[in-house]
Amino acid sequence: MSRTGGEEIAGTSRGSGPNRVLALWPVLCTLGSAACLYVDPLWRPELNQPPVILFPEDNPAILEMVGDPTIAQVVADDEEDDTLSFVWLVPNSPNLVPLTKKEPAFWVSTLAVPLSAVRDGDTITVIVGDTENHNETVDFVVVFP
Amino acid sequence: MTRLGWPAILLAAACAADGGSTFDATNEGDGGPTPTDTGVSLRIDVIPGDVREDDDDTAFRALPQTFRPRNLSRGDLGVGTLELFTPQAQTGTVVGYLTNPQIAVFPGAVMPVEATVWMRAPGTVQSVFTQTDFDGDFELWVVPRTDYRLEVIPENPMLPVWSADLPVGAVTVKQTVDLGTGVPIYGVVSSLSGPLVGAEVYAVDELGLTSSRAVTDEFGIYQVRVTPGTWTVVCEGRELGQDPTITLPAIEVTDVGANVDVTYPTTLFSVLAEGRLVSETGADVTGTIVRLTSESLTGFEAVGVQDGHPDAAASWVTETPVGANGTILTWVVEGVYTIEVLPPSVDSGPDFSPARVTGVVLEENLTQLGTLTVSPLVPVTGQVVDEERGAIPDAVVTCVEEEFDHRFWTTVALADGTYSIDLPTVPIYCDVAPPAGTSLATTRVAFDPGQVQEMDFTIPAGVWVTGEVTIDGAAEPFAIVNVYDESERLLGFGSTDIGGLFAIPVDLD
Repeated sequence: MSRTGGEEIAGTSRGSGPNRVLALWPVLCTLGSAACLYVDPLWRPELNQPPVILFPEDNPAILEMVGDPTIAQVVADDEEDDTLSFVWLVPNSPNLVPLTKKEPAFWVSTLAVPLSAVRDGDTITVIVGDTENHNETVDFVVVFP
Repeated sequence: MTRLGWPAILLAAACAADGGSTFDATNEGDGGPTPTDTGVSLRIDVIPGDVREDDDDTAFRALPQTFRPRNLSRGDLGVGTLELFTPQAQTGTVVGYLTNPQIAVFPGAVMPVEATVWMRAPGTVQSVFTQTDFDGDFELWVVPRTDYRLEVIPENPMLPVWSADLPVGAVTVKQTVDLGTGVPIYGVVSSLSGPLVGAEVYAVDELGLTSSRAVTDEFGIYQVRVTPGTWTVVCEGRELGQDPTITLPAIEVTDVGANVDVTYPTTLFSVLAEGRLVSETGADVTGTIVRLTSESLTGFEAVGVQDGHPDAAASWVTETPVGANGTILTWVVEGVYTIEVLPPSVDSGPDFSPARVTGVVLEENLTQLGTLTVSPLVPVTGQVVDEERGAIPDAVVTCVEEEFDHRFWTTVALADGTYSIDLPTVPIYCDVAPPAGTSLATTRVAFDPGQVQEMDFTIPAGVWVTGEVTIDGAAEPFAIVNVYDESERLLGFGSTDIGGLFAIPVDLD
């Protein structure tokens, strides 16, 4: 119970009105007719969260080369609204230019992959990075029909 | 966390005013909006992102689809609902008659054909391909209600390459393709040294359909089989890439086929060229590629004349990696060359500007490339602003080499719109994509960082292209939407939200 209370305080301290909760602490204990152990609020550093890849949902994902080109896409988000970067690593074809854009609710990056650029079984790696050097990676395994 | 609610509301409001028109896959007239003033025509490619389930709970992914809304008003580019068709399975079987001219009593046999099968829809993103199985059967998932070209390229060049128009309606119909025997394009490939063994020859039709490659036998003889029509014969020489490519002018192949000999007018002699590559900064240049492209080849001035094809052309391209200490060493066919120095891909080590030297003569007694020098990238800075000089944060700046290997560099504008990026000292173009949610349009600026190192990008206000992507009436979230003008220039791109709505500002000017 006390542990839960500590977490509440810690959580509140990051939001509005932490002093109000701390001031009510002895009152709540008295009304509850119980002695409250003093619990230090848990300190949590303000950690920057890494980006979250929303699409594709599978990792590795399958990129079935049914067209020429076939278009791969990655959709990602960041809790702190950090600027995201997308690095596409295509074996033996490093100069394919992706299209990247910030949408209102997420970032999206697409790459048109020509048939001549890949072989069956190749892995295309996409590194999604934020401004705090947090990276998330998603792989596409190239499958020819 | 994903905050998908408000853009859906915004886009719903934007789309509510456009009348909710629906376009079919090719949108050749029916279902389009009422013609208005200036009549803007667009091409919109939709690349679905979600796997969904059909009535049998079978997972499937909607296919990329192209829409062509026409006669839109310049002031209101609402395209309504873009309804993706549920993919249809196009099945079929390919058989052919494999000739066996060496044995008269057994001249050939009908057999299933192992081949690559394409269904191409020119001008769209809907072209798809597959391979036949051992029985010659194939299955392709296609967008219905589209005019396709069905192409069959057998693995064996002794079976004819084949194509035919195949309009697909609401449902597909199984196709049985009998390639027949086709007609031969045949001949001898030789040089002044005699028959050329192991040379690769193929044929290309007027629409780019390419046959499998035939390889010349010990007598230099080749044969590819095609259907009668207009074909261009290409000989790429031996498989190691040491010989020039000879491209003959297009010929009319009749019902009896065509005899096309290919003669290399030299002994295909090679010389060893050598040179050195250094960096202005002294940085390691290992991994850099040197590409040699022929401007003319010694002895090939009259190529094709002997075979009755005076308009034939010969060319040769080779690439060689730079070795330790910047050494360049490669065999070349004698001639005059353009030499390009192509630094390694971006982010793989020290980076340089590419370089080009033209008119380099490489002959038996003149094989020195000399010392080539590459220079480092230069820093380019500036600000991304709107037409009122307001800063545009989070704009994505992507700069691409106009020539050479088309390498690219990307950066994102900071909160005050400023950016900094290292670029090569050669002509480039930069695409600047402002963040969505504003009416600012993607723009392209071309310049030479060798001349200009301070460059502000002014983003023009655009006109909204708005709409909704659905399949079976349900919203298609996270679908990529690319908007092009009639000349296939990319005007803007974006993504549908969770409600399937999109709003992409474009600059029509």
